[in-house]
Amino acid sequence: MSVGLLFDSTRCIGCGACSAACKEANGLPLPIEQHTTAYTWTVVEEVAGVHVRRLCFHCAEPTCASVCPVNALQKTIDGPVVYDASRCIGCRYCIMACPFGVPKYQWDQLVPIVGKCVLCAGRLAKGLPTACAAVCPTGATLFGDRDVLLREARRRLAHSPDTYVDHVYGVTEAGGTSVLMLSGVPFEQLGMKTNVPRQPLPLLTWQVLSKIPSFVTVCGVFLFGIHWITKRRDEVRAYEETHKEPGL
Amino acid sequence: MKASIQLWRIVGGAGLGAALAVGMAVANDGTPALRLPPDVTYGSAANSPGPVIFSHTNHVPLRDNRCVACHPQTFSILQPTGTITHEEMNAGKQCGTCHDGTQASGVQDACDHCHHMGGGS
Repeated sequence: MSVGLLFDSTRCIGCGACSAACKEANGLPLPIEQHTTAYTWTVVEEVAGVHVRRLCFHCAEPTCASVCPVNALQKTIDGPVVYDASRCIGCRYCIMACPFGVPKYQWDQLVPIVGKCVLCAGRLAKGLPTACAAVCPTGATLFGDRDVLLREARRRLAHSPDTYVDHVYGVTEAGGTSVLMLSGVPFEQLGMKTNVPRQPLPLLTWQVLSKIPSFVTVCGVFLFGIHWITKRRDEVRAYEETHKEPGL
Repeated sequence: MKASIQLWRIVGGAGLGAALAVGMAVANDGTPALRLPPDVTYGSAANSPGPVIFSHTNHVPLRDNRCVACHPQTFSILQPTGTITHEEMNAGKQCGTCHDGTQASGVQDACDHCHHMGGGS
């Protein structure tokens, strides 16, 4: 199975260690900005007295990767949705497609690329956890197998029902994500989108795109048939006109 | 790649177990317990009056739990800090970023503020 993160906002103190570690692990320039940008892939925002992390959710079936015309964004089998800047043509379709508004663009660059959390795919390949989870001083961000994290999240909900909203964000959102979140207040109060479709978004386009080959084939045969009949009719008419029996 | 995946499963599993154990620790007032790095001892150079023991516990509360006050601008958060010198600190780098005599005690104020003068800890 794939890996993921479990973020528990009730344990986050807003120290910013995750942001600092992210900057360092991914070689991103300082400063750490207030909100996520192409250069700051994760931040902790304080909303209604609650600290909440902003980062890519790493959807199981990511829309960004689905719409990317050059496969610059890809979902890996380990869990991260990674980005290959060398393939990117800067169309920014991923930015429009992401239901969480995660990918950001380097608007200040002459040749911009997209920036977003890649779940420290490079560190994962070396057997290391994500940088944010490695440095979190309260255990608010945990790294591990997604299934194990989900069990832990549900255990917390069952153990402390008064502490948490009875929902693990990321289980069903956009068809499921590698990043899971727990909260003590309703997620919409944290500025999180709660109207995200429960089915994988690429499914919407797939329902149409999957029918196109059959549609094109059937329509092609049908139109060719009409063309053949019309042409044949014209040929018969022309033949009959040139072979009229005299006197008729 | 497969070996690395196995590796992170082992490391990640152990790390997750430890993190869960720590994460369950919650103070009486409801705030999560801080899992700060252990104290770091900086060995003394030839002309040093003694080693310096840096404690996160003594520093973090002063900064209102703001790890970003020092990381990653002044010190790496993922890698151990190498040599710390008075030359660097006097230039406003390393510890001298805060210990400038204004924000915090200056690095030239009193040797025994940081150095363990007896040579040990």
